[in-house]
Amino acid sequence: MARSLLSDKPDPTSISAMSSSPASGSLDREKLADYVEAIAKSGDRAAFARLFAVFAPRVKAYLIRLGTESGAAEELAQEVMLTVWRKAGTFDRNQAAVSTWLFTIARNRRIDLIRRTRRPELDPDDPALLPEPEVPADTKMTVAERDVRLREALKALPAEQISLLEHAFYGDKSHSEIAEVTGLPLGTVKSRLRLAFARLRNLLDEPN
Amino acid sequence: MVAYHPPAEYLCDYAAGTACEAVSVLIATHLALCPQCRRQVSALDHLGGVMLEDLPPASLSHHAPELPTFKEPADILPPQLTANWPVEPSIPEPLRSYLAMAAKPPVWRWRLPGLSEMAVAVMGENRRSMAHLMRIPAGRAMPRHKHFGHELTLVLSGGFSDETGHYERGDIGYADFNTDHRPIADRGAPCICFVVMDAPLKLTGPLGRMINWAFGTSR
Ligand SMILES: [Zn+2]
Repeated sequence: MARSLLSDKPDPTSISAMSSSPASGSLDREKLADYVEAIAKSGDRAAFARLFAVFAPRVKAYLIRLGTESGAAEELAQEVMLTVWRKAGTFDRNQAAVSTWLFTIARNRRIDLIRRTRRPELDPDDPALLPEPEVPADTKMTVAERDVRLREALKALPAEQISLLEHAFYGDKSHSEIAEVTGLPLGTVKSRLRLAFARLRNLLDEPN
Repeated sequence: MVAYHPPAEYLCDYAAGTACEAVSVLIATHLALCPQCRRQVSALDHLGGVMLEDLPPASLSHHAPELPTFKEPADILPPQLTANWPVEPSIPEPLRSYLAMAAKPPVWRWRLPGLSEMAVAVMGENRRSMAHLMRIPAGRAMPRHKHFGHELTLVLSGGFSDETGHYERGDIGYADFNTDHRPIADRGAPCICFVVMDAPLKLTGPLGRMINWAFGTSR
């Protein structure tokens, strides 16, 4: 399981390697962003079909990993894709990759279903919100640059830290639940997550 | 400028979607006041996206859904939620809405000398954790106490100091089993904090022991 995070290519034994859908290593992120923009601009159904082919099976796989039964996972994945159709106008390619945006939609829809409330999120229009300090545009990392950095950082993380991140993102476990299921002392879980995080942060914060 | 941030494991839980609702409200409210943690959570969201890209796709048993006609206004605008009670506008979202839309009006209740509390209706992990606002009058000290679980304290207004540092609006104090402290509110204004804990605190000073006994929190 730890390999999935580390590798550029999907597991050669996985369905994706055999199917005609593009492997993750070759996902064209610019094209994916073009599709979302085409939906926002003109309700482009062909662009939606392309996005659906790439992401519906992955969102379903994500939900199954988190313990959702296959039928329900598919239903939820369809709903997530419908949200993509409806909210395409809120996507900003300068802020996030399409996969990041999809991940947050899938995560939030799942939380809504479990808790029957909306996921608590900050309100970007809240007058009480402290705005981002102005950063000169040329020192700002692009989404693509961040993507490269993040994948590099992940490769450099020790397996024990990767495994905790996987428990968190794939295992539906909060850090205290991870301690319970793995039998690791809570302090160890906390310190490993903090280490992993510090390394990711250093890499992502460094200007070019 | 925020000086004290939540421990990384809480940001991770929030991004992965595994934090309980009470912790999520606290983290999201901190994010409103902390551009630095906002960037970090967006990096963790990015990590979630990378994982999604790398997952072997599952096979689908149905085709793409019927698409509704484009741009139905009701779909695009989020439903308007109405506030039941007026709430201090300096309290950032999402906490402000939790207070404003509570079923009962939010009121301060005296708990201990130097401490009032206001319950916040939000679910914690395993229904064990508790969330409330805490108010210490200006310049007053809270009774010395120890913790029997983990506690996150987000300062909303005023400030306080304890053995670990000085906390102001936006800062998060973190206390666990090892913490035995005596927070003192800054002079000038009361200190108001949003607190999420997973076990009640236990008072450790001589007066505190009496109060523990009186309130039945002694173990
Ligand atoms: Zn912060």
